[in-house]
Amino acid sequence: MAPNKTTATLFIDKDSWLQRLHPLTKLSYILLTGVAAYGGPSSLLYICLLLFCNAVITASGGLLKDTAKALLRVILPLLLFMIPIHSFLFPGNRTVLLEFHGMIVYQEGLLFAISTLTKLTVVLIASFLFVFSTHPADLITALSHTCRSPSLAYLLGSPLLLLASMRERIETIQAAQRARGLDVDGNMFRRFLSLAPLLLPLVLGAIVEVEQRSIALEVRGFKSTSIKTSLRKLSDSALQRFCRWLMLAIAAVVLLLHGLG
Amino acid sequence: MIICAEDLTFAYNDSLMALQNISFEISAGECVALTGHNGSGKSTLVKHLNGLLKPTKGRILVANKDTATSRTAELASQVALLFQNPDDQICKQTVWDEVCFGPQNLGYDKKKTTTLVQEALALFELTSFEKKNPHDFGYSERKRIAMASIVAMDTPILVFDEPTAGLDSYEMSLLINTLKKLQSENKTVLVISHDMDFVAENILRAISLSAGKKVFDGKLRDLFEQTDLMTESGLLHPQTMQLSKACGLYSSPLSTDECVAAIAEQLGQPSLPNA
Ligand SMILES: Nc1ncnc2c1ncn2[C@@H]1O[C@H](COP(=O)(O)OP(=O)(O)O)[C@@H](O)[C@H]1O
Ligand SMILES: [Mg+2]
Repeated sequence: MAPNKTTATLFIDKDSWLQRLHPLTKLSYILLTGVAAYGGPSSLLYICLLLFCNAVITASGGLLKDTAKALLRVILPLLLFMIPIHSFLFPGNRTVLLEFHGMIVYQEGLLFAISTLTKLTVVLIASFLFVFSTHPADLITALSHTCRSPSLAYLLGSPLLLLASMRERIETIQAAQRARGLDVDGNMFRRFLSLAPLLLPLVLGAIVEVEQRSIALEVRGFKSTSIKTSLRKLSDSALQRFCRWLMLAIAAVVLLLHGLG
Repeated sequence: MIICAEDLTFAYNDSLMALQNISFEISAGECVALTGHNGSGKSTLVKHLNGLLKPTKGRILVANKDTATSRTAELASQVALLFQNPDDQICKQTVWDEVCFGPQNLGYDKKKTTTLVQEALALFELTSFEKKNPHDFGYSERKRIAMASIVAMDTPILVFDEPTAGLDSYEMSLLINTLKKLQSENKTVLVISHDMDFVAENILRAISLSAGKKVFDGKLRDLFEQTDLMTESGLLHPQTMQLSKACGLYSSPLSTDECVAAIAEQLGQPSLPNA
């Protein structure tokens, strides 16, 4: 077997500092970003600063292209939807920005839509960074080292495995459909339609698979609480541990201030 | 030549060579067995025939078209491929719709589609199941449904990836009848199989892979003569040959009939009383 079938997960097999970072450090970072974006000042400048920070981190890890692609798929439809709706209909609309054939674009609505989307973008980037740079197996290892409860770690990690196995199945099934003459190249909607009847069997299949896997783990002593040898080496350091606590502390403080203010 | 592979090389990722410098030709109407140990690259090879995988080096021509530059949906009118796992290809909610899927995509008219689907269902004795959900059946039925949906596409080339796995002897006879029918229609058929009894009785030519390389291409009988190659490819001789060898017979019978004839000859009789 190939050790890392890259198609099996969202994980991108590159060697960068982001890939080498401990999964929990990255998880803490998502939390911090979320809190900073939604709990911090609502000035657009501040949010753009967060955006810039995340973009720099992404670029330095060599994940800019993949993250941008994924981001576009999520944000673009929202953009097309939210900007017009809020520009025209936002309840706080007062200041007319421009008028065009009787349609009035208001400044408040436009700003609201932009800042909401930017906040979302900031958090999405952090999340994409995490999934692109973390192998699910590493996450499960990291969680089981920390949680001391392998079942909990598996429970937390299994959605990722679920996603990975489903994605693999979907790719194979689509290949088989093309082999029988279905021409769906580039058409997302038709591609989705062709999969619709399979959604239930796919989800059920994936759940069954994860369940079977967890049974298979159990019969091989997965739940034993003795210390396990791990084949995947996770690098952690005092600095990373310190940063994790720092990030969590900052997040807590921001939340606290937000709650008070 | 309807299929022509030239120096075909393929790697899934940079490190692992799944196929290395494979060349062969298959002419229209031939029936060829593709054999080799698990992981030798058989499935990888046949996925090149309809462009699901594109060669890393070399090329493969199907009906004079380079598969690297043709779309899979286009090649589907030339090559129908049975996937190794039926669940990879079942995607509709009734058996009828499932078998219709290919012919409909290929744009056959209603009358032709209906005829083809009815014929294919009949070949695999699925006619009474046509309104049922394919997911409700057991493995071997799903396999039959998958095979019917390939045959219904009425393409000049058909490729079966391990069709015999999981079939009982009756289902096997349905498959053998289908292969005979396809041969009589002058279709080109490529069958991947480990079942040497099945292959020996039904197919004359074999191409054998080992660790991504072509190690044999020729008459199946000649493959069986090369014991080292058989071992390297992880293949067993058909039982008829094992039996005749154990009995000390000189010939190498490939089918039950040949085996009986060989035993009769050894006994110095024109035929066996109960044959
Ligand atoms: N999707 C894939 N990604 C990476 N490696 C693969 C993939 N599919 C098959 N392989 C590898 O390619 C080799 C040939 O596999 P395959 O063609 O399935 O063999 P066979 O069908 O003869 O059993 C094996 O070593 C297998 O592990
Ligand atoms: Mg195979």
